[in-house]
Amino acid sequence: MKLEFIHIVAGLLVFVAIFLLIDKQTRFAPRPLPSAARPAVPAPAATPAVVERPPVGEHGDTVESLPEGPGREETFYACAACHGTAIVRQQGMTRLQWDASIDWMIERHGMARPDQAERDVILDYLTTQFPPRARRGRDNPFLKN
Amino acid sequence: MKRFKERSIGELYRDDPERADALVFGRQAKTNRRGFLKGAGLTAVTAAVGGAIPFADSMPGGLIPAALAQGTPGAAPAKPDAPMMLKMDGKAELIVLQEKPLNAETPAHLLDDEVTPNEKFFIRNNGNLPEATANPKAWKITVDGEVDNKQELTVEDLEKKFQQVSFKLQLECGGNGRSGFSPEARGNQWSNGAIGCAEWSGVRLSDVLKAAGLKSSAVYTGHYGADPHLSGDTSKPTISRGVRLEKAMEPHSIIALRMNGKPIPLVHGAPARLVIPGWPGSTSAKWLNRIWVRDKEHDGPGMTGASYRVAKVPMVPGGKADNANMVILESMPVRSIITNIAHGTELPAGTRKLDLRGHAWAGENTISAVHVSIDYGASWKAAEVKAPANKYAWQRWTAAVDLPSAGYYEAWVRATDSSGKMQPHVVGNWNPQGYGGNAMHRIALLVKA
Ligand code: HEC
Repeated sequence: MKLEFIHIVAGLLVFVAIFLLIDKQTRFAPRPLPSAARPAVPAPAATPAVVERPPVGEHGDTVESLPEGPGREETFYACAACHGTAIVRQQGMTRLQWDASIDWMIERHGMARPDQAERDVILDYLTTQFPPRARRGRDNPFLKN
Repeated sequence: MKRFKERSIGELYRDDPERADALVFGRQAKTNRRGFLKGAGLTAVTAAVGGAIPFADSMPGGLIPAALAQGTPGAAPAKPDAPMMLKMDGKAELIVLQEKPLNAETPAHLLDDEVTPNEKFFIRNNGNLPEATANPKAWKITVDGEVDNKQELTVEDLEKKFQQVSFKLQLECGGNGRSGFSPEARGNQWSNGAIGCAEWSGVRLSDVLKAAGLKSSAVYTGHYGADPHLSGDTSKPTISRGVRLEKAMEPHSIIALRMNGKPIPLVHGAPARLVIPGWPGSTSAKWLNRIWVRDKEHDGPGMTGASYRVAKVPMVPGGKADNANMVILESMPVRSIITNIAHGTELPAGTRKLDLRGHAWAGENTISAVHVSIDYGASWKAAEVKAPANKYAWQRWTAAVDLPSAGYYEAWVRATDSSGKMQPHVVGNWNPQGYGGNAMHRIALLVKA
């Protein structure tokens, strides 16, 4: 028991070190962009990278801009017509909140209403891929999802 | 080891901060809520933040060190989820939150100027960028509704027929600080950078409304801009917010024609925009083409439901909002930032004194005090605070702190406004769209050994 704990701690320490070397993410950044979407980050001075960017105010997203999982295509085509996927990837919401967001897109912003089967697929995808990340504070004994 | 592979320390903290502390660092939250570090734990955190922690005793348990929470700006990101930096003519490298619609915030250390230059001004768009007008002087703004004489004023009319005024005015997105909410609130996850204080020149909105002749029924304004709705549906206004007439008539509420002495850049609302200082930025319509004077609270898109509203009776974080309990956010809350030194800065060995500097502002109020701490709030030092250049200009604060040794520090700043309200440690008053998040600004520093 004790030995295992030491192993876990040792493993974590190694991980912490690796994390610090490679993981400079800010928690404010959108969710990971898989390979297709290229964040234009300052390239090392020696190799001026050609960063292809869409015109200002356009998004260059593709299906691959969303994390892999069942329902990715349906979600991409339903959700990336008006805006990019970044606004979706920034969120971490419960099923209830995602459901309400879809309603809002339909009622307020004129999104085409998906049929129930399609809606379920999208909702499953969003709920699975972008759940609330953060318990940044304490337990919330009052919140029931 | 395997089962931990996918978990970053950040995730461990997010899931259960106190357990993460205990598990990773052997730190246990004390009953007084301040954590302590012991044995191997201290070594682990030390390794994690890259230096000794002089104020380990007062480091709060369960509060992820700033060094881990934010990452290091400017460092070459090794992973694709590093922040995307703006590449745009005439703009500095702001942090892009989304490309369509384009939204980008200014890192705090780029906000050091007394007056924010155009290139460093944050970008908030709700819709698509309109085409640039070929003839800015002929741009028309309609004033209608509860007025005796409907107006169609060109930019040239505004320049010729009205008194020209110029003020330094802070303009802040209503959602600034949203990323501090727990659980997350919906919308762009701004940290503290959806703020700027530029010099805006133009004409007083009150003069224009008076010229139109306000009817006694006039109580509210509704603002419209030329930015097309994201869906492409041209019949849909992208957003239309407004303010109580009293705020519209306030002498610093202006129709701006120039930003820092130059024509307003397209992305900031050329050729004419409102600047309604101290209130959520969405009331400061860009590409302004209509002001509808209303006989009731304006009900355009962005005025109703949970949009730009906060809970009157405090609601359960993450819960479902009761629309009847949501009230319009008017004055922005008190906030302060450290601007002279970037989050993640390494200071040379032997550094024992540090000058800190930044800005503080508070919507309708002014700043009465600013305090800084380098020991996680265990002790605070008062900063000097300058008077604002004019009403609604942010205020400069300066302080000097002593660093007792090498190691890892966090500089925290906290402002208090003229009504006595102070920035909290953590964001409270949860609301679905995440307004009013004004927790203290924290930056991580490392004094080399
Ligand atoms: C018909 C156009 C359209 C479609 C399709 C659409 N949206 Fe939106 N969405 C909008 C507009 C317009 C906004 C508001 C942009 C703003 O004000 O910044 C928005 C904003 C959002 C926001 C941010 C809300 C906030 O509080 O700021 C989220 C999250 C979002 N959309 C998710 C989705 C998802 C998920 C889908 C697919 C199920 C989707 N959208 C499809 C038009 C659309």
